[in-house]
Amino acid sequence: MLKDRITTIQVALLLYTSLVGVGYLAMPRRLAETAGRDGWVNLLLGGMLLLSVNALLVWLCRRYPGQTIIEYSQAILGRPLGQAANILLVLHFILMAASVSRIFGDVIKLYLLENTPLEVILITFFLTGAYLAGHGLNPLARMSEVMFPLVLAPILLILALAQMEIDYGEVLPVMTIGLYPVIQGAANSFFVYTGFILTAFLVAFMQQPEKALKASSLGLAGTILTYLVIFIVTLSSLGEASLYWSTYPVADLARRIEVPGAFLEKLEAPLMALWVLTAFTTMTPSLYFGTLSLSQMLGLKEHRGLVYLFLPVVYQVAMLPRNYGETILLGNIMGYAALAFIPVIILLALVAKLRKGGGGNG
Amino acid sequence: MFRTPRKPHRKPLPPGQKKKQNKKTVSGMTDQVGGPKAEPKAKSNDKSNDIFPGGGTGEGTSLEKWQPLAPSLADNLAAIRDRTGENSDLIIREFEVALYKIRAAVIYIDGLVNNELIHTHVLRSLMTGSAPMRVMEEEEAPECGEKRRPLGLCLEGEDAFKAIKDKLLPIAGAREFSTVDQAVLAFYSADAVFLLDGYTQGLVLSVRGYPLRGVTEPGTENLIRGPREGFVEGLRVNTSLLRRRLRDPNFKMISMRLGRRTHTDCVIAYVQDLVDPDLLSEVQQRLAGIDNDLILDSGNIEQLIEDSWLSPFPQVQNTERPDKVIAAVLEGRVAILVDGTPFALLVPATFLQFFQAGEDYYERWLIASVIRILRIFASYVATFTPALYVAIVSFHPGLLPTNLAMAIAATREGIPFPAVVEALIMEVAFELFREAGARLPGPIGQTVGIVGGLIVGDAAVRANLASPGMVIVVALTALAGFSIPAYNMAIGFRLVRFPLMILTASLGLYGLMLGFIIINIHMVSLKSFGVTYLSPLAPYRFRDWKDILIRAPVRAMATRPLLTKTRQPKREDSDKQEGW
Repeated sequence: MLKDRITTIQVALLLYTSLVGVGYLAMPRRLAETAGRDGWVNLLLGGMLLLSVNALLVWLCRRYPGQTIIEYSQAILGRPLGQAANILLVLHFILMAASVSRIFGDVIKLYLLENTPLEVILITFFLTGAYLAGHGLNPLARMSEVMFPLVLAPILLILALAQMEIDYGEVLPVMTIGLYPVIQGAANSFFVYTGFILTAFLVAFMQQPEKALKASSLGLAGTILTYLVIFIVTLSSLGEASLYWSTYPVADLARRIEVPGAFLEKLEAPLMALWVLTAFTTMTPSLYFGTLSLSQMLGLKEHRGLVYLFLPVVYQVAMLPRNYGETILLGNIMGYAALAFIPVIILLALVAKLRKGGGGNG
Repeated sequence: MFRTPRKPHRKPLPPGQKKKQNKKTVSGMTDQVGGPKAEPKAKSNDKSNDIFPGGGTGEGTSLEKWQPLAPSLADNLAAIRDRTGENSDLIIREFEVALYKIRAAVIYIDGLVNNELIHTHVLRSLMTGSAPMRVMEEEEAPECGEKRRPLGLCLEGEDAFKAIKDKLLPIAGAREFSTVDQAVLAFYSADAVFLLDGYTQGLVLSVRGYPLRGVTEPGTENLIRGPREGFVEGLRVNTSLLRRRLRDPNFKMISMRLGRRTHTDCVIAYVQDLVDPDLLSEVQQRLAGIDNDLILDSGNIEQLIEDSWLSPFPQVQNTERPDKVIAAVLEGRVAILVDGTPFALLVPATFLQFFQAGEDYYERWLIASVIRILRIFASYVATFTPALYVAIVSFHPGLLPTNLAMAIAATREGIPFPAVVEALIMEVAFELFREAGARLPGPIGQTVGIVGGLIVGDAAVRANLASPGMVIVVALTALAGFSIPAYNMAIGFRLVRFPLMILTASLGLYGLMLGFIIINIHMVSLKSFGVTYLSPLAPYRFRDWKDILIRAPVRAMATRPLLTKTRQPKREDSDKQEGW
């Protein structure tokens, strides 16, 4: 199973394309809800937390070379406790795939296909994802390489075109509401970084594991930077007030933009079309690593067919929310699950250190 | 020319002595053939035909049990006749070798060999005994007592077969063989077979001379600038075209025979010190694994050695251009040439290589780069335009500026079909015109094009069966499809277009993107001889990027592509180049 090998760049890009996902359309509003115009400080603080947790995770992975978190968690905590942590991980992947696709389905319904049932959108989306996940890790990594420019393209396009009507003064003044809400917001905003746990799997597959920290940090730093720029530009173009009432501020930004030369009336639809790719590269890794976790937990040799058993569960979870509020709730649960991994990782690292487990050079 | 006057002191073999010598040779040969098989032969030397185990009729056709030649010419000819049956094109010419008074035979297929060569260099040399003459110096052969004598013929104890091969047959290609089956294969492969009575060996004479098309400009890969020679159907002509362009002693060509019945000659060409040995052995293995009785074109081989036969995209490149083959082998790739077809195969092939045309390297880099980007753009147009049209017209008319949307809506007024049906009808009609034109002779093909393009298109619009917008889309798609240099890749795109249209008709732009994703998933999982299909795009190999979207200036291309894991990544001595 570990015969797949991926390159350093692939790790960075896989992380980037997995993290920069469906969330970015709604991200500015949700940050503004907790921290107002200081949402970018949230992102920055959360990002720093993210990078340090990631460093710890890489250290842990390097201690157990060639093993994923599923395998070494059992080595560190013992089988029952380790499996419990693993079940948490599988649930997290189910939540992540479900929440991402639900938000995706809602947005597609809103902007592209008003009359198509959500079920059809989700099922086609899942089946396409399963097609890729069934091919294994290498095609997944290559896919992220191919899709990376296309994930970046709509973001860069919006950001570049938004520069025509922009007032960076909107970012000021900084920290009017004090430090505490910002720190609290940082924890709340951690949901945008859901998916960072992929590092715990990817290091095991790297051709050059010694570059793991560099690669994963690069991918994560790219994500943080992208979110920062999106937030600041959205805030500066739309103004703080409109962040609160807009469901998808970035989409609104796209709607406001006038294309020079005016070949296309609205930039919104083509951007949404490209955004399908972004959603896809976020959802598929969680499908793949969810099935991988499950198969490693159960000690299965072959995990590729398992994705089709995994899908109905994800689909059921994705169809759970009955309205937009519940979709947000699902996203929040996923965010908190991601946050909950931080203590687990710290615990794993501590126990590993104390027990001096693992043969690798951490 | 003349009969050699044999002087007594030259001691020509008297008949009795000759026979003795022959017998000796035969028994000598038996020992060489050797092994347990030869033993019963020595016992029953008088019984002519049954001496070889398994030497019966018909049984020896399996290639594992090859029937050895018998010492008697009549038996051998009988065995060959037995194999071939009544074949009107098989010529078996029996005659006597004048110098030795031994019966011999030349066997060949009429029309496959150069008759002139057989007449003058085989029959005349042997039947007249006209050995090459030279003036002997007295001191060289003092016993001669004369100045002219045949060059060392008929020395006592000499082996007639060896003498004929070495001294009498002025034919460059003469290989020895020792089984009936080899003989049969040889004359069916356009060689002539020479058999001598009393010997269990024969000679395969290279006297090929069948009609071949002359070297002309390739039909499928025309260039504005660049060499105009293309491959032809003759394998040796093609290898000569290659050898003429690449004089590197490391340029190797190995021969293989494929096809259980056709026995088609194939050549694997590569540069020894550039090719990845794993790739080479993989190619050889896959070729050796072919067990098909029919190999008529390199296309037969391509389908048997490609990685995924379910894919709409070709994973093996084919070309009619020798220069393209040379460029490929110098990148560490392997070329497969097949007798009987002008199309050579190149492996491994990646997706982006199908967008490279030979001309890219002969034109200056800026022009070549722009044209290449245009081609890649064309591939997108060819694949996605009809689907995009369907998406915009039936799902997202708001995408377009109001004026344009209104204009398109106005042209569609009165058309009874939904956009997707209209698109399918027009695209299928176009494919029909293309297919009809492709099979027809030139002038008629043009007529079909005119009928299709002008008359039917115009009539369809007037009859309100198709909108002018749709006609433009179909025309654009067709143009874009034809601007992809590789025909097999263009077919792949054309094929993919139809499921995309249907997907888009059901799910709009989202369906289009899903289609795009599915195509990409397929491509990232595809491999060609161990090389990922989308490389160097996935996985990223930045060093190879200078020859994909753009074609970097020649001076910047000092390294070979890494994708073939070539053994010498540098093309030239970089120190040397700095002096320019």
